[in-house]
Amino acid sequence: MSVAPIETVQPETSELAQTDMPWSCVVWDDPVNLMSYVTYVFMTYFHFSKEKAASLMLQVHNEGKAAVESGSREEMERHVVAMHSYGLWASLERSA
Amino acid sequence: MAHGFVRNGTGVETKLDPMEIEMISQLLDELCDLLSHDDDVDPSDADPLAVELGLESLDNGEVNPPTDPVMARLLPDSYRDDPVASYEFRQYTDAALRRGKIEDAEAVRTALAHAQSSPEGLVWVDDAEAPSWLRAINDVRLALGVQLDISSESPHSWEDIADDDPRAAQAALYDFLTWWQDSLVRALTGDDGF
Repeated sequence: MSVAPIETVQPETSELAQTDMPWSCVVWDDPVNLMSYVTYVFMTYFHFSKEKAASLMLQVHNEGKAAVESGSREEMERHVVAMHSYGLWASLERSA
Repeated sequence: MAHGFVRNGTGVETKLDPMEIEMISQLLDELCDLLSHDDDVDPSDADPLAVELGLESLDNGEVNPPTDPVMARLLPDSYRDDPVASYEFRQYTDAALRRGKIEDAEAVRTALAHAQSSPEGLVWVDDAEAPSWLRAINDVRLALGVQLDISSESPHSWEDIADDDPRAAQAALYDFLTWWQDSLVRALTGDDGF
């Protein structure tokens, strides 16, 4: 006799992430903003390490955009407006 | 000839000659004029009390997306693929975003006026003031970038601009401010290269 395993529904990790962090602040590549300045903004506004800030900056530069932060819609709206105050080209997107 | 910024205690400093101060100040004034000129707000159903209280973005006429390309770059949509969400969000953010940019530009403008009256054109930027400086210089560069039609495909399209073209002066200013802003970032972060 064997005991059937109790079935529990485990949400996929990606679903969890989607529920917890449904929105992203996306920064887009721009021909005017300097690489040094974009890195500076990521370090000072988001308090990222220099390595993380530089890596995200390069992602923006090379891939055309990067999701720099994820979270609630209200939080991401605040970040996007802050990025606009710095002149970075940012928008809100639903996290993939 | 301008010098790059160097660190000095709790801030960074540089020197500008009177002509350079004049040119940067003029660009900052133009930026403030643009930002305070509300072509995109429909005043037809503005509430005078709300305007007086500075709540115009809440109770004023609708704030439309900017039609001027420079303003469209300085105050972009927040939802790329959702014009309705962008429009609604703009109603709450437009006035504060404009005000912040004007305050940044005015702070730099005031500091440059002090520099103009100092014997050596000494420009001092305290670390606490640095974000305002960088944002204001960046906004001026963004505005010039739109006017010079700088795009990812042609980042230096003005190399073909003749010396007698009115845009030649703008291009020279853009190049100068690019160098100046980069020098300011590097002096602030103590970094000679990312």
